[in-house]
Amino acid sequence: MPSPIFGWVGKILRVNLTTGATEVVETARYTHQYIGGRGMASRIYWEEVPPDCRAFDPENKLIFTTGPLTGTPAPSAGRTNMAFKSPKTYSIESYAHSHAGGHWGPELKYAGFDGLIVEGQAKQPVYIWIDNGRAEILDAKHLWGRDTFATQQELARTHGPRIRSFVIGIAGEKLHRNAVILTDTDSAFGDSGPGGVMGSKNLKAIAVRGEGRIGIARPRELLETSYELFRLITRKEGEPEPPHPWRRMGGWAGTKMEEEQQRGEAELGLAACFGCPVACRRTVKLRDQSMPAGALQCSAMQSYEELEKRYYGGKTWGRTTFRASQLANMYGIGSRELLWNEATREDRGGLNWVEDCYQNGVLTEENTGLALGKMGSQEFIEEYMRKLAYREGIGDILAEGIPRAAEYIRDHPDEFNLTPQKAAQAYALYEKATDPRMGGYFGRAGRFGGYTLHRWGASEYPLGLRIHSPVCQIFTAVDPRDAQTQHDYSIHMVAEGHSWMPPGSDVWRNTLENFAEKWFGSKQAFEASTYDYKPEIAIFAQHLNLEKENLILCDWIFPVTYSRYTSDYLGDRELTGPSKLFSAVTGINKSRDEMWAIAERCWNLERAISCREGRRRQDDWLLPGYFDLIDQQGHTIDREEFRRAMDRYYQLRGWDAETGVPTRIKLEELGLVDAADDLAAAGALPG
Amino acid sequence: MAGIESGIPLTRGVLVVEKALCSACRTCESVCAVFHHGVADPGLSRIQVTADFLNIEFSPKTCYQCTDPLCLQACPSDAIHVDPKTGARVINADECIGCEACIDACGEYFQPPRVRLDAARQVAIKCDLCSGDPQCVRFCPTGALRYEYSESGIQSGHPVKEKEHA
Repeated sequence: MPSPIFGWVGKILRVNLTTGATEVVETARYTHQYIGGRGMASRIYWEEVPPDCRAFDPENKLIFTTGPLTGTPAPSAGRTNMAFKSPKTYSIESYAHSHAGGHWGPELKYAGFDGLIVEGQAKQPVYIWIDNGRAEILDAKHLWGRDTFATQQELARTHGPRIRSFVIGIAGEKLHRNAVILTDTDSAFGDSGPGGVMGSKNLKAIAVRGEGRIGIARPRELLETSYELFRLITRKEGEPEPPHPWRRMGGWAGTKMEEEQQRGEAELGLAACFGCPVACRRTVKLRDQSMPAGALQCSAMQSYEELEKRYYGGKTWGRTTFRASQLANMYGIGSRELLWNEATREDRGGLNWVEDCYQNGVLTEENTGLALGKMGSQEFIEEYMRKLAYREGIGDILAEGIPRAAEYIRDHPDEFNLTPQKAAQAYALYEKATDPRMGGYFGRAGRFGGYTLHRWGASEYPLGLRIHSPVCQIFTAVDPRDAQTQHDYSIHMVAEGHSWMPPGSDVWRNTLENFAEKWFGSKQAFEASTYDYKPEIAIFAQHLNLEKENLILCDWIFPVTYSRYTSDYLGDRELTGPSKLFSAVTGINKSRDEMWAIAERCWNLERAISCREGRRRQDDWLLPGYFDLIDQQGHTIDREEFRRAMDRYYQLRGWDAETGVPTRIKLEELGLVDAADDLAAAGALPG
Repeated sequence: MAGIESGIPLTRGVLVVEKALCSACRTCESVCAVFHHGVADPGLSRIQVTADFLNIEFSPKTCYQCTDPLCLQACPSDAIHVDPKTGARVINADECIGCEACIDACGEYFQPPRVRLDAARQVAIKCDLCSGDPQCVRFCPTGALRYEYSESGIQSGHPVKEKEHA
């Protein structure tokens, strides 16, 4: 009689689309060292995806993983992680991880699988149907060419309304480098372009139905630990506080959509991923049904709102913004590619680059066939997205993503009726914006992935504090992709967006100082004008980030550093929430420090992957535009200071400061002997 | 105070749903299953969130603890009792023979039926109001679920409410 397992359901499904074979891999092979989620996926990637394979090669794999908490009542345990060779990272395709919410991950576990490895390439369009422990590869000719909503509706007609599906849209089919894999109306693996990889495999969808169960070692302990965390996140005991942060913020207050709601023309609400107390997505249903209903998240909402306001006047956030984000979801395109913001802001995206090219005479209405003068209108975005998705005309170039599109225009002036000098401006604009306050483009993936400028890059912070900068510079330099850890950092370390302690206020300063003193031994650790403590903070935040992504929990919530509902605004004081949840679910007692040690192993394995794919210290650097930025207090980034901070980062990490490759001593200490051997064999290991 | 026809005491506690607040996070489902069965399995939850994510229709379906409890009346083995504390209509698993008559009776009026089958044990399961501290209400992060209690009893479900179709 096998002993019962808790948390994990024990099996990973492998589907080979070339041969049609399916097999099962034991999850236990990975759990002891990697737990699940991002750690487990990176381990499978390390073992199975050859370093020289291209993103759209059949040798690339789509590695979907859940974690031991997925599908349990742990707060926000509805997420799924992916690892794959990304077509989006520039200038070379490299390892990336991507994450999605929704309800698919729990369904996969109820169907009996902790993960799914898709490999090979089907000869014709297919989809994978996973039904309670069984998997089939089915013909998808009738689904190919359909948008993401219609595809899911058709799958539900075939397999019943309770299934959950991840699907690609037209963009994924057409090998767009920024294509997403989407579930429901808006939850997607949005980062790093996995949709095109799925399209290259002729895989349209993965539909799942599960009616099994997940064992819980200590059910009462899990419920009480979850409840304590719920309470910190949503309300005081016994007080029916309006629980939703966006509702507290007024949600739709001051928008055109609110006016529509008041006129009875729109019904507005909230949607959550599985098990999530935050519900960060807003929903819209239009009475006239001129657009499908849908949910959408902040990054999608922000993409077109300023342009809509500029074009139509009045308030932001009307139907046109909703439609723009919906088109991205239906075509399956990453919405960050659309982002547009005022020149004074740093979170400027793909549409900013298009407009800058238009204003500089690089892109014209003639050479693009787009009504560029009508940017902001619904007519423009419908046409732009259609051309982009179907790769028509200029859309064929833009589908390569902004960096590669800029490069292409630079190298093919004749195709755009441009002089070589003018065409070169396309790339110059991408690489380095002309106005030092303007920054680069949010959607710009640097070599080995990271976005050059996240919105906190050079601080647009309300008080002009450089508070985010030094830590985020390190994140941006070393992350294998868009430095998502910055999101954790902004919310959970320096308390961005916590309305009850506005940045700069005394209560905010006290709370941060208490936190800084507890974890770094100095009230000044978050002081933004110096690099002191910043490598330490970066490593701390990277480990917290991986701890939750191995389980997997959401970075909107974890770590619960601060809480509106405690007297001193500190949340999960010892940051033991994740390790307690893990222990209660699996019955395997692990301390917080043990969880962080596993996170360190995972971080080093991801670094080993990057180094195997060619990454070295010279790639851990900020692109030129970064150093030209001037923040609101007149600061710029000092190259020497930054270099010294990076030296310290490598030293603390146990990586060779010259090459940026982990040392054998560090890898062996973490039980990564095979990674050390492989890197040594490739001549990459220092010493 | 007794039910309209059956002579069965009215329930004193009842779950109340404010549908517009539901975000379809399904925390109620997973908490219910873990609380009652010690496993994560929405199929064992006594509260069911029907969610059409493509059309944005979310609706938690709770047991009404009916004034005329059709499930109780249909049970051939007298396995359904009234909880003296809350008035909830509660199944005694030891007496249940798994015939599903209660599920069919409930389903005549309310879809999906609020009584479900625990297939592994072959017994019917339904909401017991957690003896007065409903865990779904305790965890609901949006306030979509409330617990109402009245010492004098609450008219609820059949025959007060209209039929609900799937």
